[in-house]
Amino acid sequence: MAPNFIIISLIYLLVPAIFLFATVLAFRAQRNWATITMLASICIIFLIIAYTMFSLYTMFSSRGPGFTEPSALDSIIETLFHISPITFIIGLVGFMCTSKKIYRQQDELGYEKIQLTKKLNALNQSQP
Amino acid sequence: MNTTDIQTYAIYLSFFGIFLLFIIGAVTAFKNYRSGSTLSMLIFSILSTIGICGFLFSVYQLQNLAFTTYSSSSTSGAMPSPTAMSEYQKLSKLYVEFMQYSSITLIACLFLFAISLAVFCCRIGNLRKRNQQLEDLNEMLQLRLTN
Repeated sequence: MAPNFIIISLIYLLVPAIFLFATVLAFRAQRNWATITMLASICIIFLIIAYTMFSLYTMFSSRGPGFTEPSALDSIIETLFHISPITFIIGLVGFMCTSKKIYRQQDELGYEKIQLTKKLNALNQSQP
Repeated sequence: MNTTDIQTYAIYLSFFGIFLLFIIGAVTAFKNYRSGSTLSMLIFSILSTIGICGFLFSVYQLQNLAFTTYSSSSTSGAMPSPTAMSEYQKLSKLYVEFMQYSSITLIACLFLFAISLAVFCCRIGNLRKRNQQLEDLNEMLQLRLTN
């Protein structure tokens, strides 16, 4: 049962790991409220999934009491598990909206470059 | 419908809302920058929403099936008939299979969405670098023009 459980845990951890990788790339691209929110949320989600998998693994492997009363930590983790995806997605939507500025800036800079090059060429041709 | 059912549905509906926000984010990205990565983000966000819809549907159907099977027999105070039980087992197996396929679709689409997001973030990083290079180039051209 244990090897299967480890494989399933790794598959479930792979998705937040890729999201974490993407968020780190987003944070490197632009450092604002959106990417900081995304990074904090995905780190919390990743830690929660890892903790849940670890606690389930220890519960199944120890063969002790099957079910114990949920502790205060478990209720905090449950609350965070419900809040973190919402904050992550708010950050993601914010990132998509703020990245609009980068495309606009690229268009403006490209246009400016063309204009400056034209002016420079005209100036070079007018001079003997 | 008791409090536990409401809590279960509230959790699934909140996840459904999150996936709708995923679609909004992907649509915003696709409107601003039309590329393969944004298109795949949009497609996989829609597919993952379909996955969560399927999951929610199967959970609802399973609960509904259990309720109808056992409530019809509980009025007479007897166990459900063997025909009803075999029908219940057949349908519940079908819905459990559908739930499994929905969750696999959901995980696979989330995985592909995450990869598309990583590609998109890489592109944004490269665009930012390119913008800095263009700014430097424009400054240099401006200096040449003034001289």
